[in-house]
Amino acid sequence: MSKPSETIASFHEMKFAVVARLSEGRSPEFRSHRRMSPWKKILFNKNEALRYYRAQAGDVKAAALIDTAYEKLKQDLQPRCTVKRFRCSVCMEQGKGCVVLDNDTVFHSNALARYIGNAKELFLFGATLGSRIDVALRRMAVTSVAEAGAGQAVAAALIETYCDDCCNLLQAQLPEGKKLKWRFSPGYGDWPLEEQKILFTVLDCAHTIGLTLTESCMMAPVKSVTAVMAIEDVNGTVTENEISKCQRCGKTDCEFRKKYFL
Amino acid sequence: MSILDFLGKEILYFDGAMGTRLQAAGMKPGELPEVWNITHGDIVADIHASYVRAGANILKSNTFGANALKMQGSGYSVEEVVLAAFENARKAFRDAGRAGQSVPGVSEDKQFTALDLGPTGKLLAPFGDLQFEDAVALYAETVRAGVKAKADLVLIETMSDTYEAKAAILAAKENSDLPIFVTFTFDKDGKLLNGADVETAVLMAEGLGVDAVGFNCGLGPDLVAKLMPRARAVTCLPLIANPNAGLPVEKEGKTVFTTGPEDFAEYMLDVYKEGASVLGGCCGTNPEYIRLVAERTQGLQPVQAAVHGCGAAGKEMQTSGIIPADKNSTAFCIGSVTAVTGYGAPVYFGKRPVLIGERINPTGKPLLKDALRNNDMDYVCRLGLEQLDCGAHILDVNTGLPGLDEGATLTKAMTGLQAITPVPLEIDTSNYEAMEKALRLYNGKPLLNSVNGKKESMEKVFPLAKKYGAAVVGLCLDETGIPDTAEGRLAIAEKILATASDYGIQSKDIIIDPLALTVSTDSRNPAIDIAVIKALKEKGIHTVMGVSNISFGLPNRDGVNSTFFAMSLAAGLSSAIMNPQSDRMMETYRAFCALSGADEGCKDFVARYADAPKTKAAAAVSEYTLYDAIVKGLAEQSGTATKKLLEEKTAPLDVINNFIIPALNTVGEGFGKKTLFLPQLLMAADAAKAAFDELKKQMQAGGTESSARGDTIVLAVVKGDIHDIGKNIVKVLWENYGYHVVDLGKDVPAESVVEAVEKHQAKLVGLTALMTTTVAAMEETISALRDATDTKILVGGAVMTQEYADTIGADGYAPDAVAAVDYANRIFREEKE
Repeated sequence: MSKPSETIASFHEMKFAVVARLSEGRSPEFRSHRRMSPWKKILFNKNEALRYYRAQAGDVKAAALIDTAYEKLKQDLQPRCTVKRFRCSVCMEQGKGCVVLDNDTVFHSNALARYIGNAKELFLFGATLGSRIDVALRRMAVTSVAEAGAGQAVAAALIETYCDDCCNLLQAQLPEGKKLKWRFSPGYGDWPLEEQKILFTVLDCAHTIGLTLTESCMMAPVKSVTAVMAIEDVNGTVTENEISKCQRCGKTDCEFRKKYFL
Repeated sequence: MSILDFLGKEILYFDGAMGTRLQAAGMKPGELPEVWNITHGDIVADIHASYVRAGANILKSNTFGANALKMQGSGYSVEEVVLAAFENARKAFRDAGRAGQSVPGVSEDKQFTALDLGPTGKLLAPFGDLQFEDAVALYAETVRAGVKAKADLVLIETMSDTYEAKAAILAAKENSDLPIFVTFTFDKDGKLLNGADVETAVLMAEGLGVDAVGFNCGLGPDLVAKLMPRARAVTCLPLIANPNAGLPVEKEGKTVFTTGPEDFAEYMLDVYKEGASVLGGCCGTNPEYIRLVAERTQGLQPVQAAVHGCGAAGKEMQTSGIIPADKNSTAFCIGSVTAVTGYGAPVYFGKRPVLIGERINPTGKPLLKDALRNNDMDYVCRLGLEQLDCGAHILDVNTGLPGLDEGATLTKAMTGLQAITPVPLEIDTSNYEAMEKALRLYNGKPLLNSVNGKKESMEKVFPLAKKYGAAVVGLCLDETGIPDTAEGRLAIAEKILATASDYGIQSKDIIIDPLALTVSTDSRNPAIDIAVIKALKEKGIHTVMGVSNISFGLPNRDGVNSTFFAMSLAAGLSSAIMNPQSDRMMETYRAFCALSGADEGCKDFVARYADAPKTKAAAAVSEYTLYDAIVKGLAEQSGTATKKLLEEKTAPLDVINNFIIPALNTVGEGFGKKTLFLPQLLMAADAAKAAFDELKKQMQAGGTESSARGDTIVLAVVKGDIHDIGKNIVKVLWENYGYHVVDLGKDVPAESVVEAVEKHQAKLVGLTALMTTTVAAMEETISALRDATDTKILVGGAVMTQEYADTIGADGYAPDAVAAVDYANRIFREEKE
């Protein structure tokens, strides 16, 4: 059999490896965590869900809907992720910034090139909550728009938390002096959405985590994320990593923008 | 010789991984392994040969991704890479023999090459954009190439979606006579990515007529051994296990597999003991793994057939009297079960009685008729969800309505339901064309309603049921009508079972309906049914009955129905087509389960009724006016308040104009001024919808024609776009303002939008797109509409701006749903003025 990329671990297994390493020399109770399914442990960030739902502070009915939606979605979560590490370099091609990986993959974007900066390595990353969430969201949509909206918000919060968890685990695997930068996805800045196709081929997302791309470069299942994470050398200075996502973003009229940065 | 001559009679060995070894030979991530069949044929052949020398007698051709989608732009056609792949495999068998090494168990007549088919890499509609028939066509092309290359069998592998597996199996069946093996990739809880469990995947594959079924990739042999009994419990097919070399673990950016060859072979012995008779490996394995597995299991006999009492081993057990001999020996399998599936968990017959919700049937249901005529599948879905909430296990789907294309309506309703629930459906139609369309597009092993004892019915229905792997309801009637004796009906049942067997359909897949006729015309009717149920129960044949027909023409039908239901259940009825929204029927059912021991410790009964209020609360009196209920977003109160207004003889139009619309206007204004926010807007929309539902119900009951609808608006998410939450919100709001919204759904081609606008003479079209990549499709749709119609076009969606809307030639842009309402109100008001 000839599946192209067998050099991939799903997050599921990645987590096992990390926990196993951390647990060396610890108590047996700690080791027993290895048997737990990682997705049952995605912490639900209700405040983020309420923000995505555009609910006002103190809206108890909205909060109740978010709770209901979470209860209805949580048993259908089947999150998976895939990640590959590459050496990379930045160059100019016909006046446009490019990022070249050591397997000859090239991404074309000034914003991405700026994002990579001096980093010599990066991760390509894909994550999804699974297609059963799509079924559950659609089930909500036929009965109530309010609940469907809440379901969308809950799922958005869950995929973000899941990606953060994955990145934290990847960071934990990096040696000292290496730091993972925030996630940069196709569609950000001038990075064309069409380059999702390249990313999907290299990561083999369909086979590894069941994440596919439609003709028009939309991800299915819908609640999914793909991204690049640069691996930077840290030398004691504060990196952009500590700056909030919202502050970094140029879209100042975004409805989701945290009030603090308005 | 065919592989079928050996399958299930002795252990057969697949090879191990190809991809890892190609990578070791220099293949880069992102490169197509299939192209290596041509560019690096010697390397591929060498890898194959190393497996042959290790003891593999089935090679998987290096064609995992050889489909037109993946080969696009590779410079090679599907056929080219498939033919080259088989050249390499044959060369490997030759080379291995020439090398003169001892190859245990691999004699020349036992060398097989499987046409390997992996997933398409696309998600099938409705969750992705690959249509089912397009998936069938993709696989068909590869299968035809495999036939040309003289493949010995088809191996459909690494399937993580039952629907895609079904497409591949149909393609293999329709384009070859080759034996078909299917292996699925489960997670350690025994679930596929689409949620189907082991039993469901195996039952569907068995129904579709594959020759062997099993596991590959994803898990190591230890975990596969744990899942194997679940497959063994539901099928007597030979079982396959091609596990990974344990779970992959990420180490310094590289993936390492955790199980070494020795441990792998040790675990594979467990896999064999649990029933697998075709053994091999997947990711992370190499010839050493296969060599050790072959060595450890050499000379062992397959256990699966013996367990089930089928095949040669089963025959031997019958002859020696270990298990009872059976008359219909071809269909005999003591371990087989009667079950139907969607794409979640199966529903079994013969355990706890099965409830089939009967309400998706337009007979006597004006609102459903209306919904079917208007393609309102959300209404059908709601009917389904209500029944599931009440406790139905399976949903009957009947969309037969004069003047409608039943094939189209039935498949729309069915696929609509399958998009929101994984439970099994009962396809209910007497239109053979509609029946085939629905069976084909169904995801899982369906229940088919129905066949009867008429020659024509059996000749039409059984070939379809066999091809698509359905369990079939057999009605006790034939050319002579419905016999008025139990003996007469049993004779028809026997005829149906015997004819089914001639078509290769096992008796476990026939569920007999004794047919309930009303007691009001002949008091012997119930006794006939009870006698038929009892007699069939004794023979191990399952039964189903539409219970409520018994009370036709009588008052207090619920009382008669529930008592007859209890009598039938006591006689051994396996399943009932009934209304799960009848409390009395559900009480009877739950009490029966408790009393018959099906509900152990009465757990479910207690859980359901322990905290139920002693007396029914008086119908809640709404403290809110309809206006307040909508503004505050209280759906239930909104319904109650509407009811009250109608009882006070308020005209329906006044309810809309004096309450619903002013309330929605208030909410819309608040939203515009940012004193109200999205959740409140949505809750108000739900509340207004509840008011409308109540209005419709009352109007139907009062005989008012519901055709008096408002102006028509066509609404669609453009081609290529699969995000529809925004569209759904706009739809509900427009409907709340009384507009008749023709919702075309998502991923809608321009020509469908044009067609709908023309058909409905719509003065307004709403189009949405989420991403930059689909704005082009929106532009195309607009241009097509301009060419054919003079409709107004309103656009919206995350990526849209006023500027963008102007550029692509839209008439209007709505940044949110309230703006969409304002625009529609303006357009239609101007029109009227």
